[in-house]
Amino acid sequence: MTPPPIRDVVIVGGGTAGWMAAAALSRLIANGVTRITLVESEEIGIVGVGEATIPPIRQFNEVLGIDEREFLKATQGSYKLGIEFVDWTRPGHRYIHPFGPFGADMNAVKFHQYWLKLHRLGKATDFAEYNLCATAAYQNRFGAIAAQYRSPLTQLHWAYHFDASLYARFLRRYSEARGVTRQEGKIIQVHQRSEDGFIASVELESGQRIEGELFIDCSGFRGLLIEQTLKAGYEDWTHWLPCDRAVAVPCAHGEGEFTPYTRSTAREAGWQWRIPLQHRIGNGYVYSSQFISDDEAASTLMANLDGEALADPRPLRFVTGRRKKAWVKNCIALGLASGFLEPLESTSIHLIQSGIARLLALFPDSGFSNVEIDEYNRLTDQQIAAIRDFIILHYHANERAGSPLWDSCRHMDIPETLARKLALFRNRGRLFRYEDELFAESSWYAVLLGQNVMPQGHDPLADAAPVEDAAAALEEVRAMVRGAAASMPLHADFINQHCRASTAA
Amino acid sequence: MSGAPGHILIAGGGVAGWTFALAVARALRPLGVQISVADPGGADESLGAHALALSTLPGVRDHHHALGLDDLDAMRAARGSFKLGEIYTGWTPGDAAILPFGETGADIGPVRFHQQLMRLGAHAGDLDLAAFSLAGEAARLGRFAPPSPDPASFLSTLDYGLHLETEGYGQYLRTAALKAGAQPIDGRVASAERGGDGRLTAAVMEDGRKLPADLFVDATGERAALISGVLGAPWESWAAPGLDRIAAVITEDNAPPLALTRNEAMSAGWRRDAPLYGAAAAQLIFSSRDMDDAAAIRQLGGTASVSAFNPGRRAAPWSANCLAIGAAACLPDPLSCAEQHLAASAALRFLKLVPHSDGGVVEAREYNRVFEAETGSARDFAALCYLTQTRQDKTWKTARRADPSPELARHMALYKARGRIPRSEDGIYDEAMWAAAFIAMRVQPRDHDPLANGLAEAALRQRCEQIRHLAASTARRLPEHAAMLAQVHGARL
Repeated sequence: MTPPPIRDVVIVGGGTAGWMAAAALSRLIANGVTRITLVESEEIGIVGVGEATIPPIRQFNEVLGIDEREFLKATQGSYKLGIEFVDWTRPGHRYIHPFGPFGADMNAVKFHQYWLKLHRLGKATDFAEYNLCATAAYQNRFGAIAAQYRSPLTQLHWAYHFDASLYARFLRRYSEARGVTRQEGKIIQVHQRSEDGFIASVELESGQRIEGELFIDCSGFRGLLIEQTLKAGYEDWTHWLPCDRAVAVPCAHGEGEFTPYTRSTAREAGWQWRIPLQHRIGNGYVYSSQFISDDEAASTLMANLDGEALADPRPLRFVTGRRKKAWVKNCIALGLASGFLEPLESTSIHLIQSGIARLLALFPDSGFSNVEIDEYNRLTDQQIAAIRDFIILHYHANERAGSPLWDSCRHMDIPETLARKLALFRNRGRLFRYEDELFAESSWYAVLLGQNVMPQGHDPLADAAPVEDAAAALEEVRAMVRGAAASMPLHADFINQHCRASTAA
Repeated sequence: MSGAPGHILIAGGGVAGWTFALAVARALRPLGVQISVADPGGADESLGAHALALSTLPGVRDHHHALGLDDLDAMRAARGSFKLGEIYTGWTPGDAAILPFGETGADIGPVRFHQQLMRLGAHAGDLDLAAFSLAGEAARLGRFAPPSPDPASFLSTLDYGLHLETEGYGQYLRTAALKAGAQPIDGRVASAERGGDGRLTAAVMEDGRKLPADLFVDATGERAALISGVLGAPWESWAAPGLDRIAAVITEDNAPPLALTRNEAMSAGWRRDAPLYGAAAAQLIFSSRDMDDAAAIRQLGGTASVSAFNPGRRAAPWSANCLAIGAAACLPDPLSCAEQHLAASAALRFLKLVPHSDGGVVEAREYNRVFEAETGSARDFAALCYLTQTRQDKTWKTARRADPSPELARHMALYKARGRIPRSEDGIYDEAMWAAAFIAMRVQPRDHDPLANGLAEAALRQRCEQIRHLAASTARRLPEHAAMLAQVHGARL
């Protein structure tokens, strides 16, 4: 006998995570049985400060049937081709982690292996010049490529910057139109079933109780259901990812270009983000409170803005790490409630999205079998650990000698999985993507080479082609990429023409 | 800085040895690397004594492409036939089920095809998945055509592997490897000498000759002359309890070959038939407690040979400067169809990890990691059949007694709950193939994916009927398998 399907899904919290979940789950309503209620309170703010994303967000929107330009208009959004890292390797140095591949494999040998070989011989230029997104980003371009430059080498990959609170509002309209019920109110108590501790209902200030069979905790850092009620536990990763505070402020666009990329600048005690939206620029300083005071951090941030600050700086506190179990009993945590990796590689929204996809792939019935819960938690752990390793790499592979935070990161013990990856790469530039890993090999190459992790040698198979042939092939890639990038419109023009938000928000 | 190893010596020829020789010769000869193969000739021992024929997965064609080989040439050299899937008979008493290659039906968003059928009330106990698959229908009707490259065409949903005679296929690979610059050495490697650092320095031949090299590849089959004989790397056994013997034979047979490998469970074991062009290869895996060798030979007829059956794998096939391949590294159960796959993927993976002449530690670790994942999936795919069959004979009750690996236990629990299949990147089989295997073994999930309930029933039923109709009507219009084979081999049987 199969337990009956879930009738009531209750989403707690209406930030980016809550409304993304509501929008994606709204398709369940079509079965004629399931109801979805989202509880949020206008009194509780959301943490969204201007978000940067990675390319899979496009699939999320596509599955929902959202038109890209409508979405960018509604969220003051812009295009993103990658992230520029300034001063990370050492002061005065910069590199870009672009989306999409570098060149293309030749004779079954990875492109970067030829680059490693030729670069050492002085016959190759900067690695970024072989990647279309990087080249276009540095020219502040985005849009269609002229016909003569279209080839498999010039496939553009992109994501977005947008105002997360506007995105939540946009998805709210979408969800409500598809039958999701929004319930205004502050939760004052959570009721559990006496027999098994499952969550039975949440009680609002008004005394109203919202009952449900499946609860999705999108309440943010505090984890109202998953932690405060169900005590899932939290694994602290501060020893690997030392930052524990941030201060954020929006500013006006200054004289600078409207960049189609995020910028991350290393600072004494952390790093500063710069996320260009249509109507303003989102900025923030992520730092370790061990190495700088809050006031100092705020004044450093305020001294490093493109234009006039548009609000008072807002402080945030967090502990990097993950919820030990993202799914406990009948509650699944999404977003900050499930853990926090810092925003360095724009993975927060992606983690929400992949949590939702996993939930859909393993959607329970009212019997809540452990098989599905265990599988969900196993996949979640695997994914977050892989992303964690990638982010740790940025901190670990630095040459910023004499700066206490950076010195300690350079010398810290890193996870075994990352140590293995680094050993393989340092040896001969080799890299293997592990199961279910989010970041593709090209992302690892970009950051490894960007942060000057130079392999001792290259793949011997790259020696099979004569040097001149390989050099000519690399030059061909570079010319193609350069031509394609130059043929694209300016990012600012493209936005103005196609996706300009009608009113300043 | 040192380059690639100067001399790679492959101990043993056969399909495993010559596939490896071909791959490395193509990639490393231009760098001046010397590649020698000490091939004793005679029967191919590289994939195990009982592997007289290979029944491959569709991936064999990608492997051929990567190695610069031609599928049709390989078939001509090895009395090859096309393979559209597997058929299992008697694993549930009185039952027969086809596991088709290629696409079966079509997913709708995240809802897999078998989940759609189960939503419509289909029961794994009598679900004929092959009726929704072009490969399945074509196999049933004795028809075949290569898939269309146009993804919009229904003909593109068909996929196929090959049946190949091991000996002829090995010869074909040998010719290609020699042409690519590998050097043959007559004789059999018996052992090796080791240096003070534990690395091998020279292979020792049966006649006492010593062959120095930088990297040694052990393709000596179950003998494992180097990896076990010299380095003592332990063997992890996977045998299902009781099934301890295997008999194998190839007989001449002019019947038009079925485009399926047949696995037939019988009271004291099971029989595998891989049809070749003008011949038939058969294996019998049985329990020595319930059947003696003479009876097994009588069953297979001809000149069947019998040996001990001990499937399993080597703990670290790449140890020091010795890399074991073929049966010296892993002997998969025939049910997993993995012999050819593992031989080719070992060679292609090595090319991604060619070590320094004096290095190899980090490369070996990565190689062994992927090897474990790959062979683990082969182990689990076969174990699934042994664990879920429902026969009541003593042999089969005993075979069910094994514990599944933790990964397989997870797989089975997820499937049994709601028909779900976990993704695994380094495994050999895709999600659809796992689902088809569960269904062929008649394992019924407690329920289907709740997301399937969001699909409107009438429209879904109509869609599935259309797919069934499309598969049947398209298959009927394909050429006969026998005619296609005659065209390949240039002669009608």
